[in-house]
Amino acid sequence: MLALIDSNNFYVSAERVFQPELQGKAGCVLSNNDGCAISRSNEAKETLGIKMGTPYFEMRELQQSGDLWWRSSNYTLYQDMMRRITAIVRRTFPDQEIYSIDECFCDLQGFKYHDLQQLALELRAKILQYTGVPVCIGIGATKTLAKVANKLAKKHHKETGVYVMETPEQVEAALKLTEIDDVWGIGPRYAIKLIRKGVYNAYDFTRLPEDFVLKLMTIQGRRTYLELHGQRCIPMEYDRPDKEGISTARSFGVMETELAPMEEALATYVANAALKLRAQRSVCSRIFVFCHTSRFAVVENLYSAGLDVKIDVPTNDTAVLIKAALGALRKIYVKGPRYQKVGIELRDLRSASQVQASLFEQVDTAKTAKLQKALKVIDQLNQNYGKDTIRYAAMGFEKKWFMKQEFLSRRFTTRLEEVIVVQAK
Amino acid sequence: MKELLIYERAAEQGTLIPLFAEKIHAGFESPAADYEEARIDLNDYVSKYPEATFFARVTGECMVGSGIFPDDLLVVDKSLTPAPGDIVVGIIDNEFILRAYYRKGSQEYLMPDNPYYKPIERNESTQFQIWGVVPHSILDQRRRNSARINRFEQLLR
Repeated sequence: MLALIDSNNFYVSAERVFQPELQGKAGCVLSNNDGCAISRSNEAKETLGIKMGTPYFEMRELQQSGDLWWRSSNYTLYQDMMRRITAIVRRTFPDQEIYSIDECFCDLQGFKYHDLQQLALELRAKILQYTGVPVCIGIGATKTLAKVANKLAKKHHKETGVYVMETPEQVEAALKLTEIDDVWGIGPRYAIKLIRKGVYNAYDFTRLPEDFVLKLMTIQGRRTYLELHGQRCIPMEYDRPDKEGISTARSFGVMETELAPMEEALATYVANAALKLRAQRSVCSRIFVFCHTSRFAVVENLYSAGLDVKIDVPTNDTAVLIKAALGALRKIYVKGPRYQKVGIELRDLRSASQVQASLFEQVDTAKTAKLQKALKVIDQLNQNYGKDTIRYAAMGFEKKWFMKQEFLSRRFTTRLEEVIVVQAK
Repeated sequence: MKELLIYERAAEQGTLIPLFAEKIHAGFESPAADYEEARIDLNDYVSKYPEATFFARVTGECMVGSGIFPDDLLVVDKSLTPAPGDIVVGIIDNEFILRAYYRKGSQEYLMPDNPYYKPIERNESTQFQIWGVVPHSILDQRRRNSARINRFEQLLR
């Protein structure tokens, strides 16, 4: 059996742990740049009808009238709370795959003779007490079934927060309660196709002939089909495979027209991406740079451009990558448009041990080793003394382009100077 | 008035205090090198369950009887269940407060440890939650030097 442990409204819940005044009141956490709602409290969903992606300006009145609170996304805080939750889970179920910031799968192979319902209930209570964050736990034979169980725990078993699907009867009942567009792996496009064919819930879907599913939805659809039948097709991934491309792009706080701040933003993104590259001991041989205006801009001001640059000797050296990226940006930048976003993607990643020299350039191994050592020291310093302690001049200091986070709560768990101030009477 | 500031315990390594310190003369290999052990980690001492451990900063004086002074650092462990007498971080009216938990019969209290403050009794109108238990507090002794000197002056007078 597999378990899926998923935090309820994770970002909102994490905010509430340290700000008791937010408890029991409708609220949401906003996306990067405070654009729209990305995590909503139950009250916000149920009584105010706020949806995933409801834009900021549509909620402004509710916030002003005091019916709704909101916060900018505080990823430092969420990451720390996630680390705590996954560590607590690991103490009960050691075989764990961290699937996203608020979800993890656990293989329960070693728990054949345990009362899974009881174990899950205890684990859930423990996480709630130890961190203050409520979670739901779904248990089923495959990842897709664990997802189904988790959704049902959230929807129909709010008090216990746990749903275990062990017997065939339990599975059948659960599948009948799961609408087809709620099934993990079935996108909206296929959901519409299936509904047209009279397939309304997950149970209907499992009654279809396998050939029919394969024909209609290709191999991906069949995988979901088999998983719902209890056959494991999606394996547990204990170590995340190295990424094939690393990209960083963010919208500007306000639209940007000048080249200089765009260069600073781009250099910072490159530095972040290069750090990730070194962390997975890879190098890249191409870098893609792009910038564009808002897609809502008036037609004559729309502009979008991208350029793919080849790097002669594959590298993970921030300086080389920044130089290449800035060169590309200067080629695609034109004066006039109001840019909303600039970004990069590091491409053609490979292991650092497989670097090949280019035809015209010798790889100086002694020099490379020295450079790697220097980069390691820089990364270590930045880790110990805060991000950007050692920075490249191209990254600038003013950060005028930095993302808009007007409603950011403090980093209660990681910064001494940002701790909560609370009064008692 | 009393304030609590909440933050997290340090990363895994923490501050390490050498358990064994040996003066070494130049030229000789330390005969103690083979006996070196892992260092004492204060984190292990103050928190049994790091995932449930948070730190808090105190302002206010209602717990001075328990040796907790303004600006002291508190270790708050959310994994512990409050027993009578435990110092706890509670929530009343959406605010964090520092008191000691006490139970008499079926009545529950959040007690100050300072005669100038009043006990809080759990009843219909006053509800409180307990956020975490404070197993340790850290007092900066040098910050208390002037208070100490004042007392010495009294004694010597």
